Amino acid sequence: MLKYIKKLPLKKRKTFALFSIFFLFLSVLWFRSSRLKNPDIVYAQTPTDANFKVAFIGDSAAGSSFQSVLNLIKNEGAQMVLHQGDFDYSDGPQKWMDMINNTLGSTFPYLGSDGNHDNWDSDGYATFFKDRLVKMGLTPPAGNLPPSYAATYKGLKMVFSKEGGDPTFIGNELVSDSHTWKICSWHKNQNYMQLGSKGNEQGWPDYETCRQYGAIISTGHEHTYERTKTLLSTQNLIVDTNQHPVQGGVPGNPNSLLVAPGKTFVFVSGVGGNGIRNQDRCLPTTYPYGGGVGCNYIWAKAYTSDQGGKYGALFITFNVDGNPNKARGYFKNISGETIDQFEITASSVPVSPPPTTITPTQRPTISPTKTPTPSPTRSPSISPTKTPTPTPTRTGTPTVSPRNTPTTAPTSTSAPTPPNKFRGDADCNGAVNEIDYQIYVSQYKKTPRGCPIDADFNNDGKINAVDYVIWMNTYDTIKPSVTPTPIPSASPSVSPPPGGEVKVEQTVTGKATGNPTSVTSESIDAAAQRLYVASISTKPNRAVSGVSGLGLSWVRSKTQCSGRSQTRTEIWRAYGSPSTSGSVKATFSSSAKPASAVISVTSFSGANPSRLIGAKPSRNTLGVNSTTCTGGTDASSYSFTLNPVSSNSLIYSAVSIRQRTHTPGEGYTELSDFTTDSSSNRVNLDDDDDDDDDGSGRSGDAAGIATQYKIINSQSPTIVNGTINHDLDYAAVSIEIIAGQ
Amino acid sequence: MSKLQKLSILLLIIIIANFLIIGNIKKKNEITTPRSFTKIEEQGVIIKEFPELPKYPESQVVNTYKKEEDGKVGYEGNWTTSEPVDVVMKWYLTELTKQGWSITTPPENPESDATQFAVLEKEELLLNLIVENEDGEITEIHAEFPLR
Repeated sequence: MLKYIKKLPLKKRKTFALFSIFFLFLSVLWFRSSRLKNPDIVYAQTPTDANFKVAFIGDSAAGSSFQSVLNLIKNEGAQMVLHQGDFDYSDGPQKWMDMINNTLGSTFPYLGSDGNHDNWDSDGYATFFKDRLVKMGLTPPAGNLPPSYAATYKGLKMVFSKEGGDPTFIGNELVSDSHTWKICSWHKNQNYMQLGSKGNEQGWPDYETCRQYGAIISTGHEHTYERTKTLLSTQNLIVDTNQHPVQGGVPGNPNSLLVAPGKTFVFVSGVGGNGIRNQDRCLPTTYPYGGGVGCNYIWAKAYTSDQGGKYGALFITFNVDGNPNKARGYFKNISGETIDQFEITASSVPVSPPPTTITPTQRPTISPTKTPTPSPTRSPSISPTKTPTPTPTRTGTPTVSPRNTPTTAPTSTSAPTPPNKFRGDADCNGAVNEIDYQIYVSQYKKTPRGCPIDADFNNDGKINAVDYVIWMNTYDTIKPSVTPTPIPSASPSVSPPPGGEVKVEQTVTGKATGNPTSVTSESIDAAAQRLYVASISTKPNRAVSGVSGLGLSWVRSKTQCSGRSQTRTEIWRAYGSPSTSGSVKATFSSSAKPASAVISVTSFSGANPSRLIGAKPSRNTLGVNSTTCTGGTDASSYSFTLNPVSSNSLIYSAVSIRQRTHTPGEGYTELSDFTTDSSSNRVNLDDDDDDDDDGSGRSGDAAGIATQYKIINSQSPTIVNGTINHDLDYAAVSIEIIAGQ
Repeated sequence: MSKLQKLSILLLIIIIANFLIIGNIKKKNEITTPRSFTKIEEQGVIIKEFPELPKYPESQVVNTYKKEEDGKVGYEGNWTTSEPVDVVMKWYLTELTKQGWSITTPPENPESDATQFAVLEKEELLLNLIVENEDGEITEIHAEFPLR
């Protein structure tokens, strides 16, 4: 080539050189142009298996619609299912598991997240998923599989977060993970992260932590399908406008997504078989959907009943077209229609700090019109401050270690630390929240100014991306009230505040026979800040239509029919400070009166008014939380597990005993044990005429109840049990009463 | 003009054409024209024009709304009660049937105390009825009329 050029006349050589330089210049421009389109792509991570297809579903129940979805998953050739929670509802966990086993096989990779309708341990889901992990060739953690767990299968990293959020767990799992594709999975949402009326229930830190590490966020709970564009901030609804160039004021290119540290997308796949909801938010119902408050044109696809939604599943195939950093997704319904199609590119290069402008639409407030919140126990669930406070493990992470940890140079040379500020707390008010983020944004790349406008969280004299990460990791925390000691070896820790104790104050009872329309207790004392719990048992299985008394508002906590419909037990509760003592009355529908009924009312002090009740499992002779009321076999004892949500609670239980007597389980103290039958049948064991409902309240139509309690001081699973002096068609219900602080 | 010059010009034309094609593809990204719609919502009351529905005894209305979009109209009403899910759904199916609604999709598990879903139709109206108990205490009743 050079020889040929040398032979050319000088003029031609000059022309050639000119064109060569011009060509080189254009080549550089072209290269830069293609780099700008995907500036972050780097191909140097652990890939998944080629063409690894995963199905994402949620909210299935165990009926014929779920069966159709399972058939779809099988027909589409998915190699794994990730279920975002709410498995069987009340259809029975075994039925749900059988459907999976019969359709996909008992060894098919199938993992899930704990939903609000799931009893993770007592329904056997922890065991089911642990068994699947083993069958997938993975080593699950020892003991019960917790609802926050992680797994890597065929190169896909998956992190499952428990209800209410677990950002510390997510962060620990992803901080040093090198897989190309990462999935975060949980059940519930934040209001802005779905298109229905669900509230802020999972917490932003889960979303933001997963975004920080470039993990795809998969959720359920809202019974619709929707998917966002690539987001630079989930909480602040910031779309990546490099990936989605703005046209006509709207970020476009909705079906080409990018995941990288700092950017990801979110989807809800909640049409797994149990109902389809409409679109309440971000109207209109057609692309580009809404751009108003709480929407900001983040949505790429919505599929709800307003779009004629049907049940279906989202499928994502990773490592496609021979490119380990490329994935392809599609949502298909059970009629075979493809509703959504998109491509995803994965990168390992972190995104630059978040944009320096926040629109007013991005404040994480919740519309008061959206979620009914009549119960005081529900209020905290929509608060963005609900997420867990940092655990001691968090302080070990370098990026979040407390500012005053004396591990640096002598104080005389270190930057001055404002006395009232800790990491992430830009306005120095003792709490890390979205206001601190806004200060950070306003101060980005500026010179630190000190409290109360100081976003230099690591005191390095710069306000940069590192400070953002610190803010993100400390979001929603409160400054420890304990002054750190100057002892070098001591890491600052805050002892949990001393917990209160739930105390039993009084128990009263009542009974009614002769096909009553109500049953009324004796008078119970009025007192301030009392929790009143009423347990009602009927013979046969008849629902309570309402409870009244003490001028309080009563709500049903839990019900359980017996396995042959001979009895029913319900627990109701009310909280408040009644002004006068009085009785408590349970009423029945005139069309469904029991032969006889009993009521046992207990008052408790020391309960946590912001969250009174935690776990509440029940069982009959057919199983835990059984909704089947026929076909059971009577038994003389009962036992089931309660998984407390608090380490400082009182466990209360009630069981129907008809005309029999009850012996409390180990560690339990009996509160009441009585029956409408005043004859000797409580010890004379052979009269068990179920059909003799003559309203006499004796033997065949007797109703009876036993209640008991015990205090627990740890969050370990506890057994609810007792024995009855004869085989009986019992219905047992328990509740965890959480102590205040 | 020499062969080399011709080749260079051809190369230049190809490069420029490529730039133009890329630019054109970019411009062809989905054109987004936000559409108009209206949504009227009231808290604690039933809005005017809301389709006639039986009210579950002693239930409390949370909110109702009407939305309109491209000539289509949709509604939603939300109530709460302390009655069990199965009792409430059974009552609605009975009462709605009496009022001329036909059940096109009955609940898959009529005994469920967690969530039940039914679809009913009457003349031009489609009703998705959801009765659910999310937290074990309050039963929520959602009557949704998708856009039609």
